[in-house]
Amino acid sequence: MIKISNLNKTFGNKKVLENLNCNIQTNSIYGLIGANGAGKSTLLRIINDIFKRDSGIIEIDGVEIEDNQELKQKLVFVPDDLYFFPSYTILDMAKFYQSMYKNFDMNYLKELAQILKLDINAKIQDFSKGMKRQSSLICAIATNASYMFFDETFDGLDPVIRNLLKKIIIKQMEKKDTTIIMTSHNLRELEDICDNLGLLYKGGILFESDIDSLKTNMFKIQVSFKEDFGKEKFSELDIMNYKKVGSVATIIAKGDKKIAQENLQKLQPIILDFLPLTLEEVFIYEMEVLGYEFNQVI
Amino acid sequence: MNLTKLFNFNFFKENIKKSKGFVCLLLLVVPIFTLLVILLGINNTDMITVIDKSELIIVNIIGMYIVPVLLSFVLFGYVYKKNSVDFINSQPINRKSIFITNSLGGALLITIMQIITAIILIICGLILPKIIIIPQLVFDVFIMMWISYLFVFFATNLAMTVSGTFLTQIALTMLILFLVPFCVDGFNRFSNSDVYQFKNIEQLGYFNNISSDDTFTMPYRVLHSIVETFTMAEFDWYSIHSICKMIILGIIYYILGKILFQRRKMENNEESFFNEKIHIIVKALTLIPVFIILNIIKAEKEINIFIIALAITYYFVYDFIVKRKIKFKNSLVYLVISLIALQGFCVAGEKIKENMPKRNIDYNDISALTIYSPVYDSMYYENYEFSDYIENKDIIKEFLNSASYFKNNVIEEEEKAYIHAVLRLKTGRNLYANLILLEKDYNNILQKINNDEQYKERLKQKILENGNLLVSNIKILEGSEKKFVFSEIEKEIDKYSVEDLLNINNTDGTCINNYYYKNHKLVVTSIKDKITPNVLQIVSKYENAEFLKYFNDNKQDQFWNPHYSIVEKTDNDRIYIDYFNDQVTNIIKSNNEKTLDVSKPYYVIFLQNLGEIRRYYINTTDDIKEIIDQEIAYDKTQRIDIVK
Repeated sequence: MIKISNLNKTFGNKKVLENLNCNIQTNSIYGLIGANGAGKSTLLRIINDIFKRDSGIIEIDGVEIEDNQELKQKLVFVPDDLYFFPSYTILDMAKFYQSMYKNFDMNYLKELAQILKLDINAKIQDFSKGMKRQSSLICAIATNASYMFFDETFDGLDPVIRNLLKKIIIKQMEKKDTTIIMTSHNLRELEDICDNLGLLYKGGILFESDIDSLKTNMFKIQVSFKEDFGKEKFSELDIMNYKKVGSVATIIAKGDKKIAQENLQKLQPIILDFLPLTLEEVFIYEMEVLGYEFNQVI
Repeated sequence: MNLTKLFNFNFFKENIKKSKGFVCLLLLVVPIFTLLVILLGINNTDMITVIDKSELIIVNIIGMYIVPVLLSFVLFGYVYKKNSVDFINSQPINRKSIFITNSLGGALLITIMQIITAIILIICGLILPKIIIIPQLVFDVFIMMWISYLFVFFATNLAMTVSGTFLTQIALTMLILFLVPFCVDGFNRFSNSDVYQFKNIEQLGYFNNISSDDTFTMPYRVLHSIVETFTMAEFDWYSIHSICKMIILGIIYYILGKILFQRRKMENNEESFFNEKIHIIVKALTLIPVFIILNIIKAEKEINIFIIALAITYYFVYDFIVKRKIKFKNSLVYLVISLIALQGFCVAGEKIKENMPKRNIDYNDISALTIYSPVYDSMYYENYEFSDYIENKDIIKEFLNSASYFKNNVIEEEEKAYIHAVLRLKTGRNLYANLILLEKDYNNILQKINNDEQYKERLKQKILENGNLLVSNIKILEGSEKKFVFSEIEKEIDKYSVEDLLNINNTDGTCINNYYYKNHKLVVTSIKDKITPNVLQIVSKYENAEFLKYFNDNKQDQFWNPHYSIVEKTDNDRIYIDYFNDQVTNIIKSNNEKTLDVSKPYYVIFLQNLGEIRRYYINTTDDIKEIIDQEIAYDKTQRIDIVK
């Protein structure tokens, strides 16, 4: 488990992270979303002991990360800005990782490279941006580290490779009890892979929840009655957003969908539809409740 | 402490591997240059060369100013790049280990480079017949340069840790290496001339402690020597003060570098300095040399204005290059503050200098004295290296009394004796001066030196030191022959006075050279071939053999070059005899060679005895023998010119 308490970081006079608190459970995929400059990459860099924090505590499995070489064997980080040694092939890079990580699995790397159709003997510098990212990811995955941090993971990847990599990541998480922390500024990218999501805004975690409960706890209702009606008609519902256009009201509500459905049926509506919400919509309404404009946050 | 945790061999190995051979190439530069210097050295001459440190100076300049700096950039450079910082620092190695691995790994590579260089020197000394490399010299070069290279390496590592761009890293490295010694040196020159007062300072010069330069670190000493003299010939490398200072400072730089590296804010990579205050400090520090020069030369007003204008320009150029932006207002404010602060320091320095207690040179401060005269034909003329230090207290006392004479007296030119003096202080520092003594005082001192038995004994030991004995640098004497020559010399010099001993190497031509390494210096004592008839016989044997070899190899053409038709005479009838004429002279003198093959065609031989020139036609060695017999009858044969 990763436990972050009261984390602060400033760049010059600019506060990048401010009293950040966060708990990331083991064996899960945690998505960290936020607008550009929200501090996602900085947070990952501090967890990986690349940047020094100003204050705060970061513990992984109950152990402080700072200057902890042994603990770093459990972590692997794929930054947004990729780096490879000049003229190195995937195999050369893999050998480097192998020399640094005790549990590096060379056969697994070769297997992954084969799945992604990457030539392990070709120079990485000649690869496309997407292929470079794939190379970096398979090297990181083959380390078998317990905690994997992927910054803007799917940036520059085509949809096919993106899905393939998602499958590989999920498989890694399931088979080897790995905890994966991914960042993105695009919510849709993380929607179908993450177990938990944290929204980073102005240096702090603004909102954190597991995706299942987010999706099941919030629903969209379109409802209409013969007679004219107002918001007060739905006092049984925990309404997050209410809009009425003509005789049709669109309600975003929180709570148990089944109970809400039973209660509404009792009111004998002429139209009653329960529509699925995208994660983005869930976020929009959650932000509204918190008093933020979604577009400002992401 | 788990050393394997601190030094990550895998990380180090990959560091070298990723350089794609550049590190190896870098480390071969010094050994290859060493080999080249030696091979080119022997290619230029047929003589035997005894390698001294000065021959290797170019190698060491490269080794000191280029190799450690580039090595540091190769090992640490990518750690400070924006695009690689995430990759490197996310690896399972902590900062302490990165720094220790790179620093100690680099030090290990420098050590290997020095070992290879030392092995090359030793092998060259063993297998090349025309090269003598004394093992103690190799050891000194190894130690001195090894420590110097490591010192520069650690200083560069420190500079790289503090700064983020190539330019500022180089500038900081230079500041770390040169600023403090430059200021101390400048202050010494600025003030020390008065610390040790001497009476006739105003007449010819003053005692200064230039030799205290040997307490500075090697990078500064070499640079200083290059700038001051444009030659490294007189530069004395080995200095235990310098070694100790470099070791201590190197350790400090290493520890400081490690602490700062561990605390470094990696988000500031590729930014010159993360803090504006550091910019201001660095800019102000780089102005110090300008100010010291300004205050030392106390230049004309126009020049001062020019230098200040230069400083202002420099401030803006610095901002533009390092920060890529110029803030005129800020720069000007900081410049004015810096200028005022620096001028304040200089004024304070002046005040300190004025109030500094003036010390006369005291007899009790001095451990030894060397005097030598710049006047030709003097007993000590050009014999400084050989003359050694006089430790006799009476002589030192008398010298000081004589030198004090001029305090209140004006004397005639013909009564003056101009001398150079070196005083070795008990602190280990040397003071140098050009002085005037009364001629009679000087002669009196010389007389006392002549009677100083202890000094005489030291001179004898210097001559008889068991070194490499060479006949005119063409033949190394070994075994019984060497022993014989030494015993001959020993017997002969037993009856010599100090003056004779000092003049033993004032030879006009061929000689025996004794090369040995003592007190970290290569010492050469040249002993004239005429010292005993037996020594002359041995010298002639080898010189004649060398000459005949040359003559037989080159008789068709080269031997008859114009070189041999030049006769120069000095005012006092000395003839500057060139190498091959000496050979002929010895053939004539020894008269025991029958193998000279000059049967075809006819040659004309000019023989010159002082003013007289005689011409002979020959075509056989018998003819030469006949001529030689005639010339020996004339005696005093000095020169032979041969024309085809």
